[in-house]
Amino acid sequence: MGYDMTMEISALNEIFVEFYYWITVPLMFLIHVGFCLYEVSISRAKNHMHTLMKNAMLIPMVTITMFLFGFWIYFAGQGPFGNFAGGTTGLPWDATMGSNFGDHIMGVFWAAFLLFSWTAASIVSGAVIERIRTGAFLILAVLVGSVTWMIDAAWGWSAGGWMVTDWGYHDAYASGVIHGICGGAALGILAVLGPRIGKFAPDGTPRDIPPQNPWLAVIGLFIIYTGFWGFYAACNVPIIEFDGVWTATTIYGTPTTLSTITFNFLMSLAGGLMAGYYMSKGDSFWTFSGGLGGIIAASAGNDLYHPLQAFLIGIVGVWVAYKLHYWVERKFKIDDAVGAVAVHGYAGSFGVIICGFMLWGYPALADGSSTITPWGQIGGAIMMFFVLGFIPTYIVAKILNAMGILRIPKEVELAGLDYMDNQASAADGQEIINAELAEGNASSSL
Amino acid sequence: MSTGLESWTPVKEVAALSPFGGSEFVLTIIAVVLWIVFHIWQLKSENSAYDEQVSKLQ
Repeated sequence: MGYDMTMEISALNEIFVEFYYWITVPLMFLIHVGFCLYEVSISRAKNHMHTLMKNAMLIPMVTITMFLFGFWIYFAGQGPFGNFAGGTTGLPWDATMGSNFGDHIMGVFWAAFLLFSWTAASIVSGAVIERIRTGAFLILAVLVGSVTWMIDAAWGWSAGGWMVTDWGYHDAYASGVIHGICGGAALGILAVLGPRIGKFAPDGTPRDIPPQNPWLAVIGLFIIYTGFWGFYAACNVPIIEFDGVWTATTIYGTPTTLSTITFNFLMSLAGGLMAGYYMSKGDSFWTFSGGLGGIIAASAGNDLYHPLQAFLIGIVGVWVAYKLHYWVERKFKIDDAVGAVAVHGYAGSFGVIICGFMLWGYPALADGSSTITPWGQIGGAIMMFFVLGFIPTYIVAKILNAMGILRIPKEVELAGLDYMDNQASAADGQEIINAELAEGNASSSL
Repeated sequence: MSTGLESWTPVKEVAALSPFGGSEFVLTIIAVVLWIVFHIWQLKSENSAYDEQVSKLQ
C-alpha cells in the first residue's frame, strides 16, 4: 500500500485496511455455508451427500488454482484491449505471494478475491445438481472461478481494465462480473448437460422436483445474505486520499460511502423479497431467491443510487429474472435446479444494463477519462453473460461430454448418487447391531 | 448528458451521489403506494387461500 510503517498514524491506516479486508473473508465464508445448506436441501435425499461434497470440493480446487495462476490473470489482464503483458504480480513465486515482511497485505487481497472465486464456482454448482459428475464440475469450477471471472475482473472490475477505460463499464458490486458471468456459465453447462430424468413430461411440460428440505434451503439463502455483506465491504477500498479528502471508493477509485451501500443493500433486498413473494405467491424458495436477485439487480450501481431507486430496481430485476426463468425453461427445456441462471445471470445482466441508463454520463473513473453509457453497459452485459460466461463453459462441457465424463450414468441417477454409500452404511449399521446382540448375550450368560 | 454527476472533482463540492436529483419526493410517493398495495394484495391473497383451504377441509 506504500504506507510508511515507521510512522504510527500511517502504520495504523495500513493495519486498518488490512484488517478491514481480512474481516470480510470470514464473513464471506458464510456465503459458502449458505450455498452448501441450500444445495443439499434442494436436492433429493438420495443425492444429498454427493451434492454437498461436489460443492465443498470446489474450495480446494479453486484455492490452489487461484494461487497458481488465477490471481496473476487479474493483474496481467489489465490494460488496453488485447493487452496481456503479464508481469510477475500474482505469480506463485513472486515475493508478495509469500510470507514477506516487506508486504503486509497481498495475502489478504488474494483471500478476498479467492472468496469471490469460490462464490463464482458455487453459483454454477447449484444449477447442475443431481446429474453432473463431480470431476467434470471441478474442472468447470476452476474454469469459472480461476480463469474466466479473473479475465472479466481484469477487463471490467479494475481501474485499468479496457472495458472501463474504453467503454466506461461500471459494475461496483459485481452484477455482471460475478453474477452475470456465472449465470451465463451455468446456462452454458446446462445446455449440454441436459435435464434431470423426469423433469420434463413427454409433452414438454416441466415438472416440479420437490426439495428434500425446503425450510433449510431458505435458511441457506438467508445465510448467503449475511455473507453478502462481506462481499459488499470487500468490493470497496475502505479509505484512500481522493482530491484532498479521505474517503471510501469503489474498486474503480470513484468515491462512495459505507452509508450509501448499506442503505442500498437493504433496500434492494427489500424490493427483491417483495417482488419474489408476489411473483411466486409466497413460495419460500422464490421469495428468498428474489431477495438475493434484488440485491444482484441493483449491485452494479449501488455505490451511487438513491435507496428508493435501489428498491425499485430490485423489484423490476426480480420480475425480469422470474419471468425469464420460466420462459427459458419451457422454450429450451433447461433444467436449472435452483434458478441460478435467473437469480444471478438474468438479474445480474439486467443490473448492468439498467445502470447504464441510471448513471448515464457519470464518470466511470476518478479522472473522468471515461463515462458510463447505456451502450457501454449493454456491451458489458453481453461480454459477461455470453462471451466470458456461456461460451467457455459450453465448449468445455461439450468436450467433457464427448469424453463421457460430464454426466453420471442413468442407473446411478435413478438409484441416487448416495445409493452405494447408503447401502454400505446400512450394512455397517447391521453389523454393529449384530455385534451388540452377540456381545450382550455372551456377557449375560457369564 | 448526465443523469447526475459529470465530474468527481472538486470532490469537496460533491453532495448527492445519486442520479435524477429532485426525484426523491416522487420516488417516496411510489414507494409508499407500493408498500400499501403490497399489504392489501397480501391480505386478500392470504384470505383467499384460507377460504379455499377451509372449503376443502369441511
